[in-house]
Amino acid sequence: MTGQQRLTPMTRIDVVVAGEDAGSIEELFTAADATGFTSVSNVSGLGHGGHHDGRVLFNDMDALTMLFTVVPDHRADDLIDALSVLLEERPGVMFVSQTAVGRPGYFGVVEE
Amino acid sequence: MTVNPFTARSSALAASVALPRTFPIGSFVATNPLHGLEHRSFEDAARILAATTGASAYLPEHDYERLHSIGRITDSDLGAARSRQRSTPDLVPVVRTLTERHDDDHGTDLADRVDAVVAKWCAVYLDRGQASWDLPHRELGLFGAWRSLAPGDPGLARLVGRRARRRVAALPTNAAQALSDVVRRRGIEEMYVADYFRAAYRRLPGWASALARSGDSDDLVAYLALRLALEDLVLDPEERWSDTDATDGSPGDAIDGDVIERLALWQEALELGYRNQLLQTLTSQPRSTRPASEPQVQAVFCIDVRSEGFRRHLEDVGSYATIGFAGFFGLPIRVAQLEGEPVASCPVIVEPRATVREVPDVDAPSAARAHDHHDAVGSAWATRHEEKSAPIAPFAFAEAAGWVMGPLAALRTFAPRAAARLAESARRAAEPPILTVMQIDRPGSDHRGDATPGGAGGMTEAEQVMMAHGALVTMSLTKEFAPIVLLCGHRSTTANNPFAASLDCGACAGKAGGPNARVLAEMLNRPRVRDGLTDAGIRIPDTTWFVAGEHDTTTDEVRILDRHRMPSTHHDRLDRLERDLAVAGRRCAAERQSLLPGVDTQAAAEDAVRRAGDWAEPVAEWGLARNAAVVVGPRQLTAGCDLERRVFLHSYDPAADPDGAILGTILTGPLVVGHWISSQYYFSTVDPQRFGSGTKPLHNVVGGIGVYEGVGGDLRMGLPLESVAFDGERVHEPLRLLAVVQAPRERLEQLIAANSAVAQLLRNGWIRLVVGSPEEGWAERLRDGNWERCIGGTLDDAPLERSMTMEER
Repeated sequence: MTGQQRLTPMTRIDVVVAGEDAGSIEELFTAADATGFTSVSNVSGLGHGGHHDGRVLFNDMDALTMLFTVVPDHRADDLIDALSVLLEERPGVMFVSQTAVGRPGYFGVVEE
Repeated sequence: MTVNPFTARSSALAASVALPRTFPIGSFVATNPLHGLEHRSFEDAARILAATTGASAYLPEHDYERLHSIGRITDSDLGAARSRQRSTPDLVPVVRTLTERHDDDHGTDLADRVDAVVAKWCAVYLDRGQASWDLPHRELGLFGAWRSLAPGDPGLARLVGRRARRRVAALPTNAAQALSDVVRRRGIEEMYVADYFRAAYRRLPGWASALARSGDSDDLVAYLALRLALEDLVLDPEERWSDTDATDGSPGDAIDGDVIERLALWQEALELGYRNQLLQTLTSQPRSTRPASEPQVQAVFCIDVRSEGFRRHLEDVGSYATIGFAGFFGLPIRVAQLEGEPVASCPVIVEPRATVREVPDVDAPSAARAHDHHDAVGSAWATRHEEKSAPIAPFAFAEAAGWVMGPLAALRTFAPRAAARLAESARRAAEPPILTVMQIDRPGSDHRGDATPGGAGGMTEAEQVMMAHGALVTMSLTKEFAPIVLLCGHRSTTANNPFAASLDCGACAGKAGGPNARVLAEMLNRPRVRDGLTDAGIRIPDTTWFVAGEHDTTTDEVRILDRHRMPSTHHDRLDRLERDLAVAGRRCAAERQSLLPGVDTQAAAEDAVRRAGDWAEPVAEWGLARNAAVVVGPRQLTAGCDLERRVFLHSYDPAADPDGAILGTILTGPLVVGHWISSQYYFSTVDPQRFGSGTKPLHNVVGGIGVYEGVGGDLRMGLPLESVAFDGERVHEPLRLLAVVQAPRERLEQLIAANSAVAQLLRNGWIRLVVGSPEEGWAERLRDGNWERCIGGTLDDAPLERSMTMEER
């Protein structure tokens, strides 16, 4: 069995939103039974609404936050639907990609 | 996608983003009630508002016509406004709820009756200690507690009829499940679910906003589950929702679209008139390049509009250089007052990163003794308040203490000024001042730890240096320090006023600003922090001492804080400063009092004290009413100008900021806070019924979190009528915030391009921006990114090159 074959396929979901919406995203991650997520605040970049400077000293609300989580494929659809509803109302982007993990138990998959 | 408990939750969250952001009344923070619509143009937001609620984002048209008739709006301003008109409505679907549709068809009032039940349960659920008895089953959440207790509620039987108990008992225990069940059973189409939830929030926006405040979607889901379950219970099972209950969102019957266009035109003209007046004032004022002599004191005040008048009078009194800076002094902290719980003391857009505690100063004489005495006095006073809310104890309390409380109440009613003085004297006699200090170090730290953001404790030395550096740089005070630098926060003093926090410092999340001033002074007086600042290029002379103060905006008195920590070498200068602060305060009070109703102009300062202690006074001060603009620039730009306490003043030295980093901080921080304050006053004025909290005499505090106007209904939001008008006369002039910045236009363009949040506010017309200088003239940045020459100067008319956003490409 090769290294790749030892891994378990999963779905990775990345979201970039304003800091004030990061809490809602975290809540949806948690409600979808994601066992963990990563959050990076004050990210910079260029997007649909223009440049976003991460160096905002006195405003955590408008500074962008990037959050990502990894969930088993069968749980991804509901979470993607839920995030889509939220992102119809708020500025932000979502990226969904296939990934693979070495310890699926950490991500809510019961190992046989 | 099918509607299930999980997607119902996400729709509940999505629909809630349009809810006004509100805060408990004890820490009232001004916000833009339409914050959730800032991604749309102001005019589109006005249309959506009219279509969904019938509320107006503008003054009534006859008010604009009156302003035109008296010359406040000129034909010239109208012409200029007309040339800017644009109308490209971008509408959203608007839906009727099931009970609203039923009421429309049958002439009933089911929606209102459901409102009444939901409001009652929201009130008991959100109560935070005002009620003597706690809500049973609170741990089950709003829906769970209601489901458990509703069978005993006679109001439910009246609304639902017989079999109410059995039908409630049959509901799922899980709120999200109950919600998605109703959505499916009543045929609410998937694409309209979020719109339906939005309509359900709109029925009781005050309570819905209060539930959204927790940041936990469980409360929002519970609100919707309760509301939709009640709708489901009261309606015939055959009544189903249909897409004919959704409209395209045109204003329709509520307010005609053409009217909104006309109102937008009037509003634009009104704002252009003020813009021209302010720029004329700034341009025509003779400018002195520097004070005649080096100032003995530099005094830093909050950017709050009320500081403008005080600064002007202080500079008239003596050799003082004043500076404007956000009143939280750049410190993202929580503050625990002596024996109190930590509370955020920074703008709500900033996350606190450290906690500072006020503790007895063990180095001060007799501190411990005074502290013990304080405990006794504080306990007695707390007992008095607790007795008032207990069910039986007030009778015994009246027997025991009525002989003294009765005459005191009479004195407060008929001689409030004397009562206020007496209370202050009694307090001072019974409670000697406690000498305290702000404990800023992280406990257990050797003060040399890493600059890791700390939540629970104080700050490491590196963090202190970093924060002190950020504050000094942002207020443009990095050299030529005077022997005394006064850091002056502000607070208000009012009696019997649930909205007292709305008069305190907005930059400190509706708290007094003195503690933040004390913290920064404490940092800046430390030799090791000064060493760190020297390494960073800011050298503070050994002869300079930072002292904290607090400006009471109701009385215009300034109190010096932590005087006991100041070296004796500076006492003479401080004595002189205190005398001059008193003179400036009396002059400022006299000027300010002339606008207050029923004022004794012969004794303005005394009258201000009377207002602060008078429990029957509805207008103790005007707060930030009439705020209109923020000026970002050196004090020379505004010195000597009477800006009528309408302008936020933020000091800024464009020459010291070649890369625009400081200006970027000001635009993304203080400017946003100013915009929220401006918007709160704007909307509380244009539609006080929808966005204001009603009139003070009818207020009843509910749950310790807000007010009813009367005895029930929705939780009221926004400012009370007496904050913006009195006796039918409007005092606040509703204007969107005008930012005037003295800086190169190229620098502004770069910053706007790099900060999409600021760009959005400008592009959508929520704020307006004018840039330039008195010498070079002023230009306003239009929404499309082009620049338009304004009054004064010799500015080149040619539009500036600007970078396009991705959207435009």
